[in-house]
Amino acid sequence: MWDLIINPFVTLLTWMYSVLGNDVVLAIVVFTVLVRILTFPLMAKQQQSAKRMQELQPRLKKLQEKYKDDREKLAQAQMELYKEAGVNPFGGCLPLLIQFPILIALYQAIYFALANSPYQLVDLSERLMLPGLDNLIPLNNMWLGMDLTQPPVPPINPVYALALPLLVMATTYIQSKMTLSATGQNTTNSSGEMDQAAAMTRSMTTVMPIMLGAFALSFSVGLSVYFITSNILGIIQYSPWGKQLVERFTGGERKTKDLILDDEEVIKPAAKAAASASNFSTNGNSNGGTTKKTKKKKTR
Amino acid sequence: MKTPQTAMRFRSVWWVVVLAVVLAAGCVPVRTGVSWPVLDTIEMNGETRLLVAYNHVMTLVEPTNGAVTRLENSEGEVRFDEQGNPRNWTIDGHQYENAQFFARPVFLDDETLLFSAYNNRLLEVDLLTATVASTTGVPLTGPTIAEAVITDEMVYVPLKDRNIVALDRENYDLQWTAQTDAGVWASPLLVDNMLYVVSTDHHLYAFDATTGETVWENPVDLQGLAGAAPLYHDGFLYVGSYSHNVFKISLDGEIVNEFKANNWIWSTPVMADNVLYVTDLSGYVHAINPDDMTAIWSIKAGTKGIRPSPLVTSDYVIVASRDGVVYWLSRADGAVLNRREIEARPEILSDMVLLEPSDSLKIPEALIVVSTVDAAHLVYAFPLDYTSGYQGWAYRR
Repeated sequence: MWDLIINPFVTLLTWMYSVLGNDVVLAIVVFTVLVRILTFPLMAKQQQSAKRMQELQPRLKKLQEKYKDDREKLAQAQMELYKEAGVNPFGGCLPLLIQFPILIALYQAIYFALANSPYQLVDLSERLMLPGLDNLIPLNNMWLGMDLTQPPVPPINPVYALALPLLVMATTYIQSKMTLSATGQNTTNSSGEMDQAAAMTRSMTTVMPIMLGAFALSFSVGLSVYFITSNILGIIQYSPWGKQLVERFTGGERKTKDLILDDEEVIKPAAKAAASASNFSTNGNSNGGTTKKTKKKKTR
Repeated sequence: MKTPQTAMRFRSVWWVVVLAVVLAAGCVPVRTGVSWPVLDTIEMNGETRLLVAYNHVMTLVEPTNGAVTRLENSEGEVRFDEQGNPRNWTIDGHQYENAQFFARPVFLDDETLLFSAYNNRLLEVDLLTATVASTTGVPLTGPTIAEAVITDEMVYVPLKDRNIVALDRENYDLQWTAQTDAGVWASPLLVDNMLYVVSTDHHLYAFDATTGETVWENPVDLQGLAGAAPLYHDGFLYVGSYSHNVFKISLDGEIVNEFKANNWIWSTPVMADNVLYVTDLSGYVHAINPDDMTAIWSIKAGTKGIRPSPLVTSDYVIVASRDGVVYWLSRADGAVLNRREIEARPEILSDMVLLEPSDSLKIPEALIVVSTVDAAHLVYAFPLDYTSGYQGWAYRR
């Protein structure tokens, strides 16, 4: 099943190599940019969703305090809050989950296209979907004196190739930090605590650079090129310019802060909440009537 | 006692680790191997054994039942270790600078094999004791994935980077180096003191075997990568490439004719009774008239590509596919007569071996031996006569 994604990627990458003057690094960079552009709507949605969830955190915290002894009621009240604010609690995860296979396929496509052993090349025979690409194989895998198919470690590659894993780590770290900043997850809530999503993102800021650095050290130089390109694009996305772009892209959507409700109106009496939850579960979506009765814009 | 804050941090780290593992699992490419196993027949103490070399381990296997060969002395008696256990004929490349074996060995003499290994080394192996003469071996300037060629004076070693080197057979002194523009992944073909070498730079070269000088003014453009040695027959060379073509080439470097297959070709063609048999990586088998290079028949046998050269007997053309199946085809029209699946259907990429019946080896009938890339299903032997009822054997590492 993976091949359904990987094979078109391998084909496209090889085709780009041919139109970009048989420059495999340029092909990887352009290909990564293209994939990031194509997945931009998903990423923008995820970025926006994470931000909106962050804005709801103080409200959620209050609910948690209020219903700390009744998990069922807490869940109902949280669901109600999400409905009122127009936020899908999984809205941030889903685009990320959809991107995962694409990222993995992109990674593997680079690995397969840079095939440099009999075993890998036999495999490539069933991956190229366009005629006329056969005569490009094997791709020229030397770049700045480095063998792109080999790990960036001496003596296989020159010592300066070790700069690539360092660059991977640095760009991953910067990107993670900017993600925190862009989604507001670098702050704690009113009680000085962090929500789980923020804590997780913070952990990723530490873990991901180390993990990707280790990957870059163990795998081929070509994959480092992909990681660095992808990270730089991520940094641009979370830069002020990128944030404007995301805002413009998601501009038509409601702003969470405009929909924040008074505590008492959101947190209904148990009976009402139960009725509302019942409606929600049976209809499978927001119940307009119930919502309207409780909705009231916060006056500022 | 755990505070909610600590619990949350623990949960978040846990989720990050899970994500990291998922990403790592997805990003570690499935295929990390270099090449496929080598199968060969070896004469030891006058009897035939099967040599199986793959990654870091080479082993001799009994053709009778697939058991690992016991080490014997020159009198044919089994050797025992200090604990009194019989010693197996196995060499672990980890003990020899991490040597990996993907190329057939050549015989230096009746008791000494010369292995060109993937760790840039030539290793001399004593057949009777399964020991390597030197742990460091003879250094080469690159890894080797195709077998060397040996003559009375020289050893010609193709290197994965871009060279072919000629070494003195006695002391391994470098005699000459010939360079192509990319890796040499196939064994050279030696005909009349000329060395014909295909390169992954898409060309076929001819070198003088004594001096290493280029013989042809321009190498032959094969229009695609060539990964298998050419075949010499009756004054012509036959070689397949990634261009989908099998070329018929004169010994002065001119393409005389060509045949278009359905996909990349990574096998050496086989000639039998003036019919050329070729397999391609879309699963097709082609029987070709070598005179005009037209198809006698072409048939899709495997559901996946066929890498190994076909095994041609008096009745059958036998091919093994990446789909983990061995096919018996009719020589007359290519009709599929029989198929045998390997357990778990691992890829078959190695060239097959035909073992003739032998009373001394207790092989009751001719066997086809195939090897897969899965160490748990490494070698299988099937009877050539698929109607015989003999089940054959399996060797698992």
